[in-house]
Amino acid sequence: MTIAKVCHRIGHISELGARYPAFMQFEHASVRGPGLRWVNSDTGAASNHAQVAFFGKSGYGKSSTVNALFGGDILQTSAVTACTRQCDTLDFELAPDNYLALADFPGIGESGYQDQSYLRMYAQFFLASTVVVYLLRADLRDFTIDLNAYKTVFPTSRERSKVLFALNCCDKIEPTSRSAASAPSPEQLHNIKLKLATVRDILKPAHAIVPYSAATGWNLDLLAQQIAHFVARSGHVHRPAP
Amino acid sequence: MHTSLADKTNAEFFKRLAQAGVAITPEHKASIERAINHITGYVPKVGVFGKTGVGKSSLCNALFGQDVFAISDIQACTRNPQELVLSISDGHGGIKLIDVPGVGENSQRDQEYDELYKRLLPELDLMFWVFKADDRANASDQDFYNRLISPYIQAGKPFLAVLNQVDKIEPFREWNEEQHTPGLRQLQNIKDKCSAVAHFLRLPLNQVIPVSAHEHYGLLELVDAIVHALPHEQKAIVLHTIETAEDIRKKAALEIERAAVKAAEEAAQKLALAQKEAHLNAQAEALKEHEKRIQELQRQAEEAQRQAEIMRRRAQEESERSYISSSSRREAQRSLGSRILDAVERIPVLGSVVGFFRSFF
Repeated sequence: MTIAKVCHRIGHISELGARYPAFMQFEHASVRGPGLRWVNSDTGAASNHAQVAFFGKSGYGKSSTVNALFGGDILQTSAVTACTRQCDTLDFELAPDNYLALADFPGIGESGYQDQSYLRMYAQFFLASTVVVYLLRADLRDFTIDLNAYKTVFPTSRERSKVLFALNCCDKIEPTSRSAASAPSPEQLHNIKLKLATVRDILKPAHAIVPYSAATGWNLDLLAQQIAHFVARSGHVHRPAP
Repeated sequence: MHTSLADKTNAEFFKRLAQAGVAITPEHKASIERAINHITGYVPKVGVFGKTGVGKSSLCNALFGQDVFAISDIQACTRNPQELVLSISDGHGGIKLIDVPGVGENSQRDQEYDELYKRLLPELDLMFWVFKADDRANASDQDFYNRLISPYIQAGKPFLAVLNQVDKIEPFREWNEEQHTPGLRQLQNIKDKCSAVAHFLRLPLNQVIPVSAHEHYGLLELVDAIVHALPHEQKAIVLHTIETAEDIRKKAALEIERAAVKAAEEAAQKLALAQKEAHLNAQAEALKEHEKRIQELQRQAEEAQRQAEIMRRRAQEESERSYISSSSRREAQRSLGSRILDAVERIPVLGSVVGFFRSFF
């Protein structure tokens, strides 16, 4: 059993950099590290990919988050059914044959889901990822599946150190409002704080959790900035000498 | 075991629903009352199951029209089954609703609730499983349903799947807050979700009821479905052979594991004894001294680790707090930026106004 990586679009890092300046630091950089070399099955050409993998349960907004970061609906999303069956990526060129990839992972925890065998396969794939953005939802509180997945896929502190937890759907935490305001109300901010503390107690993440909303764009810039920060200190991306 | 709250009830269901703006036709009311009148000689028990946080308690509260069950935005708060009698109309007919603690919080609680559900299920006359409409990570639901609920359905116990919080299904800003009805695209997504749930529970579509407790949407249809699904007379459906092949296999695996652990423990004990003897022979005192020092160093290292952990958590809390507080600052900066832009745009207008006044002089 393997995972196919399907590239939906190849662009240039300056596209991401125009939205989030922190990504401009990777322009002209080269990617080096074990497992980061990929071969295109159509052309046979090889290239190096620093991968930002989005992981989480089905319906937690992995595709929406990638779309929101990119600034356009490039990956298909669905309000009802699971749509990601493979690893869908957007690749951004840093230098010839060197890419930063946003990778949308198959969701876990759907009905009919075979946890352990899938999770072992994912663990292999994450070894070849530079950053893992682990998505949670502010408006749900069931953690049995996440606890098991986190322990199985990221067993030691070495793997856990590259996991960035992000709390999506902060606009849907109670008390919800249907006004178009992008920032949560003071009451919601209070509940978000409580939620962060709860999640911290349950999952014991290695780094601070980023609260945001892909739907309203709240704190998306902070998420982008943290992702860039994690990529920069991963040791996979090497900036050219000035 | 059960906390009885029966005294707190008795708000008349139809009256309250009408107050909340739900239109009830006389025919509909009569049909529900007829069904209730057919249920004789017993107070039916309805168990409300589902994952934690899907709004089981909120749904029970909405059916009673008052906050009789504790709910929380963040924490799981139903730890023991709570029961309450729902009176449908004056004088006759009551239904006992049992709000059951939800699954999926963590595997330890899931195991406890497994036992609880096994004890509770035989005494129920109707079971329903509540889903959150905008959640599709349903592996926990499916696991409990297949193992515990499904055998009772096959044995003939009535069952309903309830899709709660349909007002939150995307696009969630399209919900009509005045009419308490879904937007067009929401309606389609609700229908699709009902089909998806019916499919994976292997149920007919009419046994999946979309509701929103918060918006009082679909409550009448839910009560209608409840009273029509209930048997007229009490039927005891108890599964005598709950032990399935799966259970037997699991039990065997557990026993093998236990035996292995026991063997390993015995071996370790023997090894420890042998080591002890060897140590006694060779410079017992010096070894003891050495071990003491190691222990002391270990204790110090653990203490340092504990301190480091505390510091790390404090740092995390601090940055999360700053994520929240900085977000409002960044919002404010953005709006200040747009105000400056507006001001710059206004400059040519100002220029022409100045020109206009100049022409007088």
